[in-house]
Amino acid sequence: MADRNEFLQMVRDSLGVASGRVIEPDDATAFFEDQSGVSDQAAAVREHADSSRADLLDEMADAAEEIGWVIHRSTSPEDAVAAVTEICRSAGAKSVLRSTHDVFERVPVDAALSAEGMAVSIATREPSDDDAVDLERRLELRERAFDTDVGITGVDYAVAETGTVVINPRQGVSRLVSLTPPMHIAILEAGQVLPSLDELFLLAHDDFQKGAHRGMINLITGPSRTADIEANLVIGVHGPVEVHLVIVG
Amino acid sequence: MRVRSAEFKKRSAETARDPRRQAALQMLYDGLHKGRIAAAAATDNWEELRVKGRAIKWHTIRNLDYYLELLEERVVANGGKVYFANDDAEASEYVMGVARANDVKTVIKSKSMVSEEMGLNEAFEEAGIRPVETDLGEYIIQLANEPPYHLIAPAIHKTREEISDLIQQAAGGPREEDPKDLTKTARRLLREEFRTAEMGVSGVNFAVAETGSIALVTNEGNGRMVTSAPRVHVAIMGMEKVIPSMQDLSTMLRILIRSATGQRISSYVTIVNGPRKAPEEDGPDEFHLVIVNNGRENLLKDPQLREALLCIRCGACLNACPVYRKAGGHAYGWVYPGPIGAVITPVMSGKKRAKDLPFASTLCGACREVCPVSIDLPTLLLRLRSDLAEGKAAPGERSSVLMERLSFKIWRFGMLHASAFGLGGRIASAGMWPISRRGWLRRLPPPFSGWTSSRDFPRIAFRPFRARFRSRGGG
Amino acid sequence: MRVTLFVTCVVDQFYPEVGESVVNVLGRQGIGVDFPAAQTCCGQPAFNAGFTDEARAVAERFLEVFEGADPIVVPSGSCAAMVRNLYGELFRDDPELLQKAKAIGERLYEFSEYLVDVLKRPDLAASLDGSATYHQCCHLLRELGVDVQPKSLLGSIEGLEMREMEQAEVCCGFGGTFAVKFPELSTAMLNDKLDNAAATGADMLVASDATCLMHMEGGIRRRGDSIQPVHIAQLLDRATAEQESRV
Repeated sequence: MADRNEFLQMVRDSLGVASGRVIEPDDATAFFEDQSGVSDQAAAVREHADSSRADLLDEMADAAEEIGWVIHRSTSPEDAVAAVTEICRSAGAKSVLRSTHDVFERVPVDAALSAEGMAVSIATREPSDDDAVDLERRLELRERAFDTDVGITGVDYAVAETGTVVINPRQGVSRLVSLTPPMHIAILEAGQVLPSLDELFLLAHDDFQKGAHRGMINLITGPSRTADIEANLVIGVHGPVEVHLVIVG
Repeated sequence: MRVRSAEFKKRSAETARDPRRQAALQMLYDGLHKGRIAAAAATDNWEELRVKGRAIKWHTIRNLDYYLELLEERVVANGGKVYFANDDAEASEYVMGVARANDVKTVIKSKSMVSEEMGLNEAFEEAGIRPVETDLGEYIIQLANEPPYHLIAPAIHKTREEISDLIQQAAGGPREEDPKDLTKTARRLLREEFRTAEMGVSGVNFAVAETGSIALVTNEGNGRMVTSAPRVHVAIMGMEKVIPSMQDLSTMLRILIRSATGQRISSYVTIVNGPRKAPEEDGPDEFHLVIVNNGRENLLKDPQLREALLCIRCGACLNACPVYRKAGGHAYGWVYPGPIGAVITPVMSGKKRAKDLPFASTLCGACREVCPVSIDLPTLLLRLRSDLAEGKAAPGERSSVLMERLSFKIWRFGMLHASAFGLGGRIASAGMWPISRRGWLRRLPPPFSGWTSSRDFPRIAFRPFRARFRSRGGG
Repeated sequence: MRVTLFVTCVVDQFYPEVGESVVNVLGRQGIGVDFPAAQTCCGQPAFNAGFTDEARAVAERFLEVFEGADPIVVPSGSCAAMVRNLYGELFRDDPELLQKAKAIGERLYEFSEYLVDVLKRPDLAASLDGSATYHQCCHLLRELGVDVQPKSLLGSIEGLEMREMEQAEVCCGFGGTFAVKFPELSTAMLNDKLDNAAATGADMLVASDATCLMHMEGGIRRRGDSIQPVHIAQLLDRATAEQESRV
């Protein structure tokens, strides 16, 4: 078996450097930027996302549409509920799985969908201290995620540069809700849009500094796609075939 | 994976004659290459991004020991395990150990070129574990039992008829030829694997040292499946894949994705920060990061060749390369084809086994022009030629034949003595006269017969320019 | 005003008429030409083949022969790139020669580059009836970054219709010893190039490098194509001669 010390020594020998040296700072990477400023910068980014919410939302809508999201703009929570219901109804959905993002408090879709005869379930489980029990509950959720027609989530951020929605999985926000169902509906609210990837990764960095990071960050941009057969673009491989972005505000 | 680069001449010539493969390779120019050009043109600060990306990578490579150690520390802090593997065998052995410890029967794999170096699928099979490639292109070539043809389009050489046969064999049922139907069938087959596999193996597009994260770039969603559904996730990376900061990702993703597919971003960018953090709903309980050397130190220890470790595996140099587009991916004989393969295959796997590759280029510069981190590939190829031609680095690696060496000694004499040069030209011209027609020759003896197999060769002029200049009394 | 001509070994021995055209075109622009008779080659054939010692010896000689010459004009982007860019690689461990090479590189211009960038004459007020398609030689385009200069010279010729071929910027498959070592690949690349050129229906295939031209002309002759290969200096020579005779 390999020895990590020998491995790292091999790297040092190859570079002709000694261990324990101090490396030269380099402006090219953000690594050497003043780390104490990250949190202030992150606050400024959030402030900007809030104060420029209308413009950023418009930019996001344009970029997202270009990349393959079906855009639904609604001006009130009621409109948004109606939009979600209509999308699910016209897709002939029988089962719907949703995350527990805050947005569902403002855009309560459950009753409307149930009224259409759809089975609505929440993508969460009761965590258990007993590992075996917890695993069993997680596997049960996984089965539901694979068997559901539509997954509905909120978003944690969106990125106007690329038409991307960002979801940080956590309790109540399964990794699979936006992935395994053939259709994904994401509900985006004003104030959640960042101008570019730069701001997104700054906020992610800030989360790490605060120890608030989670197991995964998902950047989702349009439907699943491939061009692996004779370079033909085909939409919908392993991820959702159809993706809808319902914009509130 | 076995190195078959010594067969380059034969296999590339076969591909150059094969109209099906040529049609596929042409698609790379029309699709990916032109897409990259359009994406670069649509990005205002494109050149600035390239300069920045190159600087980030150079900084990291020059301080690789530091960032690997930091990466290890932070992955462990996130609850993951790190294993440093010196070669392909060690890496395979570790992954098998993880699989056995978890009683794994089926492994789902997202694309990883390093795992191709390791021949990981064969190792799984030998261990009685079923590996399933889940990237559609990788899935197709796994069914065909072939290595990838291209860094990001592994099955680009396969016609839809060939793919139809392969998918039909795997799925049973009626034969389908529409890419949409074929994709749908593959989706159906692989979905069951995603649902039940105990372990996921992925590559790494970038590893972020500061946060102990890895970034995966995919369009199909398989990368997300592999890192979300199974209980165990093993990520495998070449040791050059690390970058310092989370905030460097924006630059690196921008240049990687535009260069690879011409997209502004791929459908999914997945950042994995170790295993599932309780009380998350899903994600693996175990996360292992395998950091592989496997000959990369041969690049690292050479101050010039080190530049090849800046490569972010976008594949743009393949699409741009007119030689790759004739020779095809398999001719290069290992995992990495095209210009970058011609540089790193000999150095990583042993020059003796891949002597032809550095010479298989016209040095046209198209690769350097498109490289997102501006690797000076033509110069690196020239450097390897210089090592190889006369066996300077090691006599056993000498690539030239006696005739070639002799020719260049004579050439040198001629070029150092203008009178010999002039006289030599006259003699050669006279010698060519009887076998030429209207100033051109149809046939030359070996080794020049390679030229005249398809092209006429001009006779040396009776009166060279120098004589004409003299007689016109100057200019 | 005078320039020093580095005619290149290939033009000297295989395409002397290209060298004469260079002298004619420059002459019509009022530029006298000096030709150091001791010149031979820049060393590129050996360097590209990996014979670095041979290349270095010949390159050193080049530096001696052209020491003090200013400006130097070369009817080849490839040979110009060898001196201007690759001597840096060849002499990387010899600071003195490196300095010399750098100084000469700064005074050396490819033919079309010299006309357009130094003389500032992108339009030679030339005329010639016919049609032509332009192959962008690799080293001129991608080593030296000379792209618009030859195009503006050609585009300004009255009566000449320029037709752009598909993949004009793609290599013709020459690549020095590559053409001999990998004849199948080289030929396949050449055939694409010649097919693309023929598809334009142009009378002439123009290139700025005699080596690429030799490769393409060899293929044109073997294939029996009707397109006429011509060096940009030859075309400009003809086009400015017509204008001269009309005056």
